[in-house]
Amino acid sequence: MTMQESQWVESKFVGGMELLLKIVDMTKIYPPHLEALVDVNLVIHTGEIVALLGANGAGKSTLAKILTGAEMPTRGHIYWRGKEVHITSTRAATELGIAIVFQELNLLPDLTAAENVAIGLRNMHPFLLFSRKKAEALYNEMASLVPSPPKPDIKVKWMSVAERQKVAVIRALVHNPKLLIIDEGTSSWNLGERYEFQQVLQRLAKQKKLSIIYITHFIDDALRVTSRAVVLRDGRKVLETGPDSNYAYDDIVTALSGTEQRTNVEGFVTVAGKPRPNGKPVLKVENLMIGGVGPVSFTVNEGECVGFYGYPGCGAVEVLEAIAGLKPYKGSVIWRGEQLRGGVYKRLRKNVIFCTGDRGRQLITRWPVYLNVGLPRFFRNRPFVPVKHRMFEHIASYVIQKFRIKGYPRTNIGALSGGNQQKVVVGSGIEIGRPLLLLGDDITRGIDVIARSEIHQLLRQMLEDEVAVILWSTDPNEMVEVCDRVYIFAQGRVIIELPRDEITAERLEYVARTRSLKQGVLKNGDRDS
Amino acid sequence: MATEIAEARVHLRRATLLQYIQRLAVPFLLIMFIVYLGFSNATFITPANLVSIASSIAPIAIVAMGMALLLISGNFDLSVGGVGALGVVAGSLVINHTNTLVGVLMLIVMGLVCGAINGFLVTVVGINSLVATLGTGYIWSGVAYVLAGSSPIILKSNALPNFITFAPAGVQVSVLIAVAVIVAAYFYSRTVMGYSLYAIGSNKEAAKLAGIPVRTATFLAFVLTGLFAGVASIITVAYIGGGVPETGTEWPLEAIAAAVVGGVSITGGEGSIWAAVVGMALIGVVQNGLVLLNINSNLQTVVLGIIIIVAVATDVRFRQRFGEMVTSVGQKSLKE
Repeated sequence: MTMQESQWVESKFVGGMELLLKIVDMTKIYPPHLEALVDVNLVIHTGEIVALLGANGAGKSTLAKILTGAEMPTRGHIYWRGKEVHITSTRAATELGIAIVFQELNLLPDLTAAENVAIGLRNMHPFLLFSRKKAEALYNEMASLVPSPPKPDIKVKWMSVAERQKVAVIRALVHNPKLLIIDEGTSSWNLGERYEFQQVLQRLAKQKKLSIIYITHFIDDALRVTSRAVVLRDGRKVLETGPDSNYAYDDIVTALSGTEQRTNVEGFVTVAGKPRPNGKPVLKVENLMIGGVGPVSFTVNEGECVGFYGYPGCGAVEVLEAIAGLKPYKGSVIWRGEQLRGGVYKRLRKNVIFCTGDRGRQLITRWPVYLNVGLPRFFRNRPFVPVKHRMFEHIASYVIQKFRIKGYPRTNIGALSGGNQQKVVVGSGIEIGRPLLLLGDDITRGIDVIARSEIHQLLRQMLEDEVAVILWSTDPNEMVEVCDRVYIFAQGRVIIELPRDEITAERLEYVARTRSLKQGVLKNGDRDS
Repeated sequence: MATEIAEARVHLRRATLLQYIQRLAVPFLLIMFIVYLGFSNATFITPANLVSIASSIAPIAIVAMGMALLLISGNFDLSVGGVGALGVVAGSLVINHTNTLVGVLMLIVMGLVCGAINGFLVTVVGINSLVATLGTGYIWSGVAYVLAGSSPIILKSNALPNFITFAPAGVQVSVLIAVAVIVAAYFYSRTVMGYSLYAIGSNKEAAKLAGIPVRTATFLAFVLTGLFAGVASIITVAYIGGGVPETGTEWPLEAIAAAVVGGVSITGGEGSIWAAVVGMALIGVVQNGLVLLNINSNLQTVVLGIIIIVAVATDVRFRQRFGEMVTSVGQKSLKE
């Protein structure tokens, strides 16, 4: 018996819980010198939920990849129910009983939900005809564990992000796992959905004795659902809380960032910024109709950040896309006394810019940072002159300095962490010119608390006289933190306007939820576009 | 702090260098072939032979330039062969009925019009470029067969052949035209419009969000490809001394092969004019070498196919190997 095995026997039953997984000295170094994980030790018991927290690039995803056989560790041991195992492939992980819901969902967009769930299964023979009945029966069985699951016969490409994530969770459950890893699985769900989902996780953990590693950016989620939290920073374990010790939000933020951060009552990092007095209206939108959305009318004042809050499919994104010139619409959009016309090309010249949190939609990952910054500025020059690389590099290094982005103008943007990529998107948008109308589509999706609060601070600080911002988010706390005024959307319409002092997470959530329920949104599943 | 910044700079410079190296697989292969053929065959390295390689690949090299721009934007043009067939037939008819100058101008206009029709079908009607140009290619070459009738058309005047094969300093005018087209295509690829093609091929949605006029840029790329095919057919008319409707059947695939061998991505967004030129040169050198080495002409096609696969495979391996290094070195420069 090796030393580690004897250690395992000693710690087999801790606090009445059986040990399921033990990770010893886990290290992953990407050649030549990138230390993704360094000597990480971790134990997981049967039926417990453990939160794995960390900033972008801290090593959470690397650990998840090692456990699911997508990556091999440089050194270190994994003990599964007391025996050392080498997880050499994703199939080996599945056979052990480890399943994962990835941040980048690998679903096939042209297949239906049921087909996606059934496609990799053993009892579906690869060369026999695909039985839709069997697939749907299986899907429905698993789907009963998830709140308001998407229908089995809907193609994944027609689903909203939240629905796709539900399908991914259902697919993970089909293998009957002992350990489920949720990697940012719920980052784009709204508060209600997240809450429901967490209850499901707790139920699974309690009844099915499923162990769950919950990798998340939402610290309050971790505090609510999990029994323990492990914080990683730069590949090292910097904080681990025991099952019975209480840990506070501030401790975790400090551990995450390595520096002290002040937080407000709700536990969110406060944003320095004064609420601005109401200026004169600069954007007037009247009777905007886009497909099934509208009519919508609203105004945005000078130097104001207006929030659009609602569930996915509420129509707010369509409104933003219409103003940016991405979607055809009926109605009038008057920006600084001028009717906006034409496509993105024309509107960008008036500094109306659309930024989205869906980085795959906004960035060209094989390009360096400076060209990504330059892309929306290409046609400020004449079309048949050489691209002004020098100029874009200057702008990029200015944006990098001003927004404290970890990277260089010539670094490939794919090498940057998600939070930094997002800062490039937002920073580049902010610096496009003045007067500015910034249209933000869930711009803090899937990034860590620190990057998130930095982006929020940037947004507050830039709210000068010549700037107006509209921000759509499914996260009520984002509205509380940065917005001067909020329009709540449901069923393609504005249902209520809240002034600054009435914006609270509870109120937003309550209004959106009751109104959506009343109109039957949640029953049919909330669908984008 | 200062040393850290200096270190990061070193990493960054190393990443940039590696990025250049990863593109060098095909030029390396080309040099290997030239050295090998130079040693094994006395006539290969002679100026006369090199010029003859250049003039034989000139028309397809011109077509390949347009094709490279289109491939970068994520599109194809299979109709360049049809443009070539129609060009040589209609070109010789017009030259015989009017004069050489009118014929040449007509061919240029014809190229522009054919390109514009393709561009219209793809960007406005919204047909996939592969399908649209497959269709128009059939139409052009069908029209060429109808115009030609049963017999090939022979040029009555020798003005055009004499001009195109005129060699002031040993280099034919056709080669000079090809060089001019290459230079023009290179500069086009460095302009705002050219870079837009890269953006469109890499991530169309991102290009759209950034206000790139996606349709206009794609349309112009088709028009340019049509124009280049028209220019290539001027040279071909002169080479043949007339028009046969079978001309150009191998143009589209050979142009795509040249671009892809050089490292232009078939899925768009990656590659360069320089890469397509290298790819074209490789194909030209190999074809010529096989003739010089007295290899059975039927076998030559087989060998060419193998070379294409080997070149692309080497390129892919090179990119993977060095691509990983670029990413890891790049990330290293970000670490504090």
